[in-house]
Amino acid sequence: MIKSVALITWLAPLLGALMAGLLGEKLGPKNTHRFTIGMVTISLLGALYLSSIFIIHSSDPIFAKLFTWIDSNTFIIEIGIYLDALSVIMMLVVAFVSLLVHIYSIGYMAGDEGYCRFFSYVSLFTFAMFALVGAQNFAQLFFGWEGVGVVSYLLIGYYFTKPSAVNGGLKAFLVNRIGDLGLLIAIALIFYYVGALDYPTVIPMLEKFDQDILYLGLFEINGLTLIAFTLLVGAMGKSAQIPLHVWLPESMEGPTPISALIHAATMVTAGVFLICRMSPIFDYSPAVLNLILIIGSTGALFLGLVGIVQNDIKRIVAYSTLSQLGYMIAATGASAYTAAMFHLLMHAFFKALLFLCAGSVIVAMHHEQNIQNMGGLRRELPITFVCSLIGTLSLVAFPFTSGFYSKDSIISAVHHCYLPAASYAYMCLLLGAGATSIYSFRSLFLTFFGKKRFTGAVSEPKWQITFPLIVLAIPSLFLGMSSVGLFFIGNIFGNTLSTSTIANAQMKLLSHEFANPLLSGIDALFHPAFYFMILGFVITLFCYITNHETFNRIKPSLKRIAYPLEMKFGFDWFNDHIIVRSIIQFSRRLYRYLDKHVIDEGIILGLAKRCLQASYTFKIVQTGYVYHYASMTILSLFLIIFFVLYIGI
Amino acid sequence: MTGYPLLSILILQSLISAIWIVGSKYQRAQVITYTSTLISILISILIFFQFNPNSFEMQLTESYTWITHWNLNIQLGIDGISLPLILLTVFINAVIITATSSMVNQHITKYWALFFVLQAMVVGVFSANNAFLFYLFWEGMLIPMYLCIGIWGSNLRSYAAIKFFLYTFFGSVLMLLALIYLSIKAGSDNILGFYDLPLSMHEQVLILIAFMFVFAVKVPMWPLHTWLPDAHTEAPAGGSVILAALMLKVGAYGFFRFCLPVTPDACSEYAFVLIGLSLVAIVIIGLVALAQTDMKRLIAYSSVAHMGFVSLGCFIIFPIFKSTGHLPATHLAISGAMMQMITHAFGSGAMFLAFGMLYDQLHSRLIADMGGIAQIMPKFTAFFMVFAFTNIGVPGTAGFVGEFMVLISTLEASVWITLLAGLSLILSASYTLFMFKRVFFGPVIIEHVSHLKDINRSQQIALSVMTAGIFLIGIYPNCITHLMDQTVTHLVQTSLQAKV
Repeated sequence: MIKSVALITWLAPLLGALMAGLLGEKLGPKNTHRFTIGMVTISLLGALYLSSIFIIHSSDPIFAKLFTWIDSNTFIIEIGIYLDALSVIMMLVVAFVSLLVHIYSIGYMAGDEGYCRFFSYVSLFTFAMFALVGAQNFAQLFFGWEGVGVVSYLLIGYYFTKPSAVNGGLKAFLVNRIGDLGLLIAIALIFYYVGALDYPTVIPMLEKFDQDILYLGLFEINGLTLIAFTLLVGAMGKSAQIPLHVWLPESMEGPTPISALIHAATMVTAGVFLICRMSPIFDYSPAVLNLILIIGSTGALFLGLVGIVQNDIKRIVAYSTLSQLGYMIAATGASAYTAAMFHLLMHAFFKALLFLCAGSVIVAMHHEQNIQNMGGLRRELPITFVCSLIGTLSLVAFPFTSGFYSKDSIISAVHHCYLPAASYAYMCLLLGAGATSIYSFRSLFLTFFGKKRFTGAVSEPKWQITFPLIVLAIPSLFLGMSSVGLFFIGNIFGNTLSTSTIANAQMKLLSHEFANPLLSGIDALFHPAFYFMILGFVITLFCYITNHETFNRIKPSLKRIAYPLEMKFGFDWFNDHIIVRSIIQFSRRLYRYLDKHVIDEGIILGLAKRCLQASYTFKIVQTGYVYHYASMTILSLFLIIFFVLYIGI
Repeated sequence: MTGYPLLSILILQSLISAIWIVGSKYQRAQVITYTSTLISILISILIFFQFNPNSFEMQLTESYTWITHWNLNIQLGIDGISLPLILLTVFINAVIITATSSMVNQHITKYWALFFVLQAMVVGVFSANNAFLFYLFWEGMLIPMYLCIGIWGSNLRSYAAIKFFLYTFFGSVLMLLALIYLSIKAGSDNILGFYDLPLSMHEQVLILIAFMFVFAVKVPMWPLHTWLPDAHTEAPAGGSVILAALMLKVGAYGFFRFCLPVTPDACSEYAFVLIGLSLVAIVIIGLVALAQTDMKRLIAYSSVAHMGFVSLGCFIIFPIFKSTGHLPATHLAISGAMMQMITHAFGSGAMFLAFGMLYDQLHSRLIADMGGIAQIMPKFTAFFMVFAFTNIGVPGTAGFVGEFMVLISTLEASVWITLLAGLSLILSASYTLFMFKRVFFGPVIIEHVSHLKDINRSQQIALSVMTAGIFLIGIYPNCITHLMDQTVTHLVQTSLQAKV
């Protein structure tokens, strides 16, 4: 029963995708969206059923096998859904957000030429994401991992006549592929050590190799450290960590609903999920944990800062996602895996909400995305405004909202971490809280407050758009408070996450801190993070609402500080002008000089030419005159006789 | 059905159809062509069902006396390595005949006949158990291919045809010498007899060099690959598909049939050179592909880069065995190389086929002459996208399976090899999607593009069949690996046993 429910949950969206993709034109847009939504609803119901079993009754892991992908000698890979608390919770979130995004898309994509194609892609994404989170082995994980990457590529480049969208998709795919290479090497290393790829065998077996040293020619390295590092590279690609974060802002070229689903709630958190899944391995390698802390917290602060100078409503949310992903990654670096997962889930709700609100604004504004051209929208778009406000409060971790519990748990976990990088990470995360508050309120104020900076009428979009906002606003506000006990005290993940001493110490600390959700909300007043958030709010209030003129006067002098932010710290410049350009030039040179000039023309055709020349040389002898041939014959005859007689061969 | 000489029936049937088609008028030739295609498919299905995957021995064997004076026999038989390739041959040939006939505007009956001759020769190569029979079919393959490029090719066809012929013919003499030497030493020219032949290191090295000159050209391994871009670009669509899907495979088949089991010590000694060349093919040719402005040339270079995985998987077993003594990983590497041979036909082969359909309307190979095709030909774009993804090696498509198996096995030899070979993940995505972007996406700029028509029904069927193959292998690769498991195990054992 459980097994078949799991498989139906997984495969229903695939059926929807196939129907929409292959028969969409025949079915018509209305039937297409009905069918796909029906399929995703089935998934959601299945996921609810599964989570009731695995979260409330906390059952042992179950593997629902679908078929054997390959069974060759000792290389056996089985496809199916691996059910434990971790995968079931992820499935629930994916199905929930996916369903809302499907509904939202009816309104957002109405009348679009590729309506059926869009629904097909979104359902396909849901299927691939289930494959990723429900994988029982690394091969299926890699399938899901690449599958979501492919669908993301297709959806970012959805408006394929627009060059910026196509380039954004290409960039996303290629940058992700760098991460995928890391993951692939990690998989190969695991296979080298364990000889199998399924989680239940791999994780306990790997722990035995914690002293194993790998010789890499120039240097040697602990085997588990290398595995953890390569896994981290994979996670960095998908979860957009510095320096592989460059693709996420460009992914905003895709339609807004998919930004909410893929680039906020689900796909980008796959890296965090991977680290949590493999958390026992990471706990054996403090060097990599330090690296994770540095990468994550740097991203959390600096990419948040970049968000302050953006003017595109979606890009602000994108940079905010980068910053929040940094928080999650930093939490895994502090071995607070439950906190990372907790933030991942809360973030899925409030960030999806923020994206969908942005989409609602964009639809209302007739596809205007620049917040400088908005203003005063709170009266025209009351529902969107309230939902945006809730999302923003949750994002900046205002006490008692969902985001508060998850973010605060990360900050205190990092604060209590003993790794050398933890103090740097703690500073970054605190400052990051201020940056979050600045960019969030700036966006909110410029969009909904102040004077109108546009002409024309705006009105609240259709119910398909506002309904998902309302549904998402509820968990963004209350879910944190109601479930924080389940996560930290109830320990819902049990031993699916690492149970090392550090991880247990972190859990203990967090369960102590969040023993009473109400009290811990009040406790926030004694935490510096709260004051950084308030500081950010006050600055923004000062700049954009109360003293807007003063701010405009001092704005030119701030330009110099903002320059590195506007340049996005030069990552894009470096990638485009140094890396891409040099690779293309190098490849041209390789083709022109090595392949064409040296090998083909030089050696191969050169050889042919020599042969031709030699044959011309010998042609001279073939004159065609009989007396030449006759004299030649006689001369040869004499020579032969001479050799035979005198040298005596 | 047991006991029927199915292999020789398949070969003779193709040859007889070829002769019959040439001798008939168009209408009748068409009927014969399609009927014989169906018959070939039927025979290959029978072969498939006759084959017992639980044995590594030669099956469906046939033996006839050929030239008594020299003690030459005709012996046919297949094992787990040749069976998938024979099925592939018949399948690809059927696809080519249905899909590319409409693109040929002269000598159509001869075009059909040619492909049946090719099918006979390629099936012959894969099923020959005698060295001389093998040699005969091997050389026999060249002539129809030469004619195919020379007659139906584009502008520079005669240059490309001659280059192709001389290049691939060059090593054949050396191979013939090696085969004669082995036959004299073994007392008969049965290939299986060569396997237990005790050969000194010196002999093995010389034989390996002789084999390498012919097989490495065919595969092609860097730096003997330069015939391929020319041959591919100038050949007609059907010729390119046959080249990519089958002709390259016979080279790699030679590795499995001759190099590994006959000269294991020489292979082991010089494995580092061959692995190095494979890595160069994967990385350098991948970069070269990025610089192409001609779409067909780009696909050709990508084809070379992908074949690098076949030779890599083939020769990586020696360092793996030396460093870990681990047999399962070597098994994985060889199976991966075999898989790559088959899936490559669905990646590069399908892309060449699809490109042929585009070229048929556009009459240009330059990427700069395209752009925005997705708006004009949505169905074609959807198919091409699947082919692009299998070329990139996205999991779930065929292209992933072989690369994945080879890559994870290489790590047992060295992390660095995996890293270098793994660069293909990034490179293949770069050149394929960069090309895809320039050809299909963006606004329509060239006026000529806006007059294109989407593919017709029969083309759709051909591409759907390829797509079905791609997904079948990608989702259930076991259907091929279980055919070859026993043979691969046996091959690994013979190849890793030192003869010296």
